[in-house]
Amino acid sequence: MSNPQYMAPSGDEERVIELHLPSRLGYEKVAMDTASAMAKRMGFSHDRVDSLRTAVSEAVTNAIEHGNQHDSAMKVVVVFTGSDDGLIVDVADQGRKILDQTITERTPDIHQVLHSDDKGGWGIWLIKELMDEVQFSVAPSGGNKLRMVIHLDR
Amino acid sequence: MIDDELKVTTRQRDGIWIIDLEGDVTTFAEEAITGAYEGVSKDGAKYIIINSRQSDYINSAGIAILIGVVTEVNRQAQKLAISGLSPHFQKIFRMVGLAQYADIFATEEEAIAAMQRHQKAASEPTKQ
Amino acid sequence: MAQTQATIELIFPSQLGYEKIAREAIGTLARNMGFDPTRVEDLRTALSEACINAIEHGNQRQTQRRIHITCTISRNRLVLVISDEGLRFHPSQEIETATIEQKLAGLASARGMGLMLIEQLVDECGFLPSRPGQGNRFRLAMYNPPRRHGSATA
Repeated sequence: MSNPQYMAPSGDEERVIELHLPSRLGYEKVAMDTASAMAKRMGFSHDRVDSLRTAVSEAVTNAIEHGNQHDSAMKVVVVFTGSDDGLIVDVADQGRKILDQTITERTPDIHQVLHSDDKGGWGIWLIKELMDEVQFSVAPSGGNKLRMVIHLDR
Repeated sequence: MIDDELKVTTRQRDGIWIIDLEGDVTTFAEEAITGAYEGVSKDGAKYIIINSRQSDYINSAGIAILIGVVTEVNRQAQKLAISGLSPHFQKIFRMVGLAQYADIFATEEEAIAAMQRHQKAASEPTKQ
Repeated sequence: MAQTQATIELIFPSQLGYEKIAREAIGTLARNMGFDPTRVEDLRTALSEACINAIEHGNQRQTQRRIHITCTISRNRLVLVISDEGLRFHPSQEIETATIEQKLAGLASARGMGLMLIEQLVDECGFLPSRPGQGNRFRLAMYNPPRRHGSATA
């Protein structure tokens, strides 16, 4: 194709995909497949794509179960921002319940988690293991926001 | 972003040229496919198989490129077959009518067998 | 996954290639709704074509313009509305009718088969009436079980 408009964009600002999901378990799969389609397109290796899928799944599941307390009318908003360096994924909920910051620091013990009702700590630990950068914040609107970054090795 | 998601290679089997497509057949495929077709034609190909290695994504722009190849094949009195499409894309090719102009086979082996029948028929003296 | 009605939204740049991400996301939804694999493939192809139309025509391939997909699902129906910013409006409600013979003879553009394909792949499709300040809105619907070629009303 000779048309220059077929070329990739020069700036990074346009590579943004936004996904709004109801807070019901099962919809995290849509976010996982969106993430892997974008990551494959950006040239991430298979195992990095798999890591990203798991991290996105855990983050969205957390937002559905904890942040939005399974209230399906509440939205989970996932924003994927691609750049030459990698992919940023922001997962925001509407903050029916604010994340306990201590949960983001601890390393769960397998025996403890197996016998606990709250499996959330395990998910956050996994995300931190799998992604290159993870940040937790409370959005001005009051919801929880989790930002994870996965770098392209170049 | 990586847009170059198609690999096109050509090879020959018993006087039949095979153009292998591996990846997406979309608007970005035009140069690669047209180039490969022109290449085998220059080498004197009479029997050509476009073999998709289970492409998961073929769209109407990609089909348009293949229609362009069919137009040339008709003009050059060559014979074209298409193989390796998933059942879904075989259906799509029938929907757009491409199946009337190029024989469509599930596998490369079936396409080769059909081409060999054409070769044989062409080499035999015409029966009146 | 879907007991009652739910809405999913996907917003992405007007650049060819992003339709692949949309088809992954929506394909996953359709699969989880219980559509059989053949129809999921039909939907994926129809959606790709609708997105390409919106990118190329509606938004004139201006990357910074957005494509917006709203997906509404209920127990037996999936409805997609693909919106662009309407830099160019679809001329009318007509669907491409050029035959393959015309295309091969060079009488019609080999492109523009998209709408014809979509029509054959989904149960309902068509442009929605335009609203002030909005671009083209193309709607397509699939029922489970199928209900072929009904009228395209929202």
